[in-house]
Amino acid sequence: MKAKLVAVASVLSILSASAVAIAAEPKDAVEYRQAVMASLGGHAGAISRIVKQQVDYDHIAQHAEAIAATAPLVEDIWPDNSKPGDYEKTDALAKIWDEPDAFQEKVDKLKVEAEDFLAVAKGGDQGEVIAAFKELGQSCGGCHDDYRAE
Amino acid sequence: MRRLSRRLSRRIGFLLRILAPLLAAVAWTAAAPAQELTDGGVEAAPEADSAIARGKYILYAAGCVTCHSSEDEGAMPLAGGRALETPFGTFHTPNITPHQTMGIGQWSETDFLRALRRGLSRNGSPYYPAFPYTSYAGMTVQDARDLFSYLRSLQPVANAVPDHDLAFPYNFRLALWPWRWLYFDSAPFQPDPDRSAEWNRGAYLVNHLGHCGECHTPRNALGAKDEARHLAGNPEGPEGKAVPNITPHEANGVGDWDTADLTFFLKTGFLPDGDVAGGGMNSVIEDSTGHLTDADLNAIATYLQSLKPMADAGGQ
Ligand code: HEC
Ligand code: HEC
Ligand code: HEC
Repeated sequence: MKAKLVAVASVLSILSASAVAIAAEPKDAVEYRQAVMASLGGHAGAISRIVKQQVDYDHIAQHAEAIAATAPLVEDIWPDNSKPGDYEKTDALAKIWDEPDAFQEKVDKLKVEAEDFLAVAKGGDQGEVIAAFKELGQSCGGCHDDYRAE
Repeated sequence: MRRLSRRLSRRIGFLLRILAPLLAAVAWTAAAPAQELTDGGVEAAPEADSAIARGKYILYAAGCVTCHSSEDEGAMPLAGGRALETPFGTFHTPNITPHQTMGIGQWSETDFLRALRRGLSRNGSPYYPAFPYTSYAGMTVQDARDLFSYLRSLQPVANAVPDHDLAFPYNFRLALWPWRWLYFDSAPFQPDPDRSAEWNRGAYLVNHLGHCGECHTPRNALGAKDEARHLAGNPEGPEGKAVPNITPHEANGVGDWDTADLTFFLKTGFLPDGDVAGGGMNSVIEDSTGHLTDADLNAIATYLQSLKPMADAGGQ
């Protein structure tokens, strides 16, 4: 009986969680998406500074952790009511919702590259770290190329 | 007589206007970078002893791979077949692996140099400038020869590429002659003796091998690069999208980027604020600048920073 109750409760909570996601206003959904992207950009920018200015090299792994922790969230930030037609201040292109499989590949690529980068950042030498960072950047750029307006 | 020549020049003007969009044909849609090269693992190096290793480096510096490789899953690099879509039709890039019938297997080195540095095919007809030979014309003979050695060393790939599918009158190669006569300068790169070796190397990489101006320089009404606004941004770049100003102008260009910002961007694709380039530059980085040595990236930065800062057209 208790198990059943827990099961029902957790189903309900899933329902209400997704209900909340759908209920978000287009503007809120877009702004949240942009904030997630900006946080990826923030950590990537910090890594770039570290490498370029040769400061606090030991921080790179922390930033890599943050990127790897954020990457899976990119999965969930494209609700149906956040298309360009719903809120004009988005740079996301409608293609995202028209070709979900191709788009999913870009999300998966990001997750893989973020994990790889984390692994290298934890132990690699500077050359290896830059090479892996470039790979990560290609996974960002590969999606921006196709799915983000200039 | 004067009337006649005026009429003639009007006609030529008209012809050129029709042709103008062709030149903007450099408007390639080469968004996705190509697959890894499968070449027996030569290490690309600018000063290697072997012509093949030097040639592979030139291939990267000159960014040949993106255009000449299909975007299809599993397609072999350099075997051609990328569709470059333009408003007047589709170009299908040729196979430049040494396949006897479908590639350049029967080409002599002279044929290759003529194509790259003069924009002429083996039968003497002109190439469309969608193949950016207008930039490659300045390539040194040595670099072109090394590049040919590298291409000859590749596995031949059997891939037959369809003909270009261009609308009338763009499908007539003959129509390219008057344009070439006006705008095509096949002079080789001339180093400026008053500048440093690094600056000259940068100028050569940017203007000839890297053909940066094909996207970053605006075009005049006849579709030729407006050299007075060299690298000052192109409001109508590939796919009709704007390409940014990369002169060292503070507000509009890269004036607030330092050398490390430029070299790091060309190596990794990350902009100074952590955002990542898209829109064509992404494949330039992956297939070209990302493979260059630090010395060459520094040379590019030195050259860009020496340019006259120019505001965006119509800007402040
Ligand atoms: C799966 C596709 C995809 C991937 C992968 C991706 N992005 Fe984005 N990014 C987008 C889209 C789409 C937008 C535009 C979002 C909008 O305006 O609604 C964007 C916007 C941005 C922005 C601008 C945010 C703002 O303030 O408007 C930054 C910065 C950014 N991305 C950085 C990154 C970085 C860094 C990575 C890799 C670590 C990355 N992105 C990976 C699709 C992606
Ligand atoms: C912007 C895209 C682009 C780039 C970059 C590019 N090409 Fe091409 N190339 C083309 C197109 C399009 C053609 C076909 C032109 C025509 O048919 O008039 C072509 C034609 C050629 C040909 C003639 C092939 C034949 O069968 O007649 C050769 C050889 C060639 N390219 C080699 C190269 C090399 C080497 C590089 C790098 C140094 C390069 N290309 C870079 C687009 C490109
Ligand atoms: C195929 C067209 C193309 C070619 C060739 C090209 N670029 Fe770009 N470049 C772009 C586009 C498009 C952008 C804008 C990317 C974005 O904002 O997402 C860009 C952005 C840049 C930027 C960043 C400018 C800024 O303010 O954000 C620099 C620097 C740059 N390119 C340098 C170069 C150099 C150096 C070369 C030659 C080695 C080159 N580009 C060749 C298309 C091109």
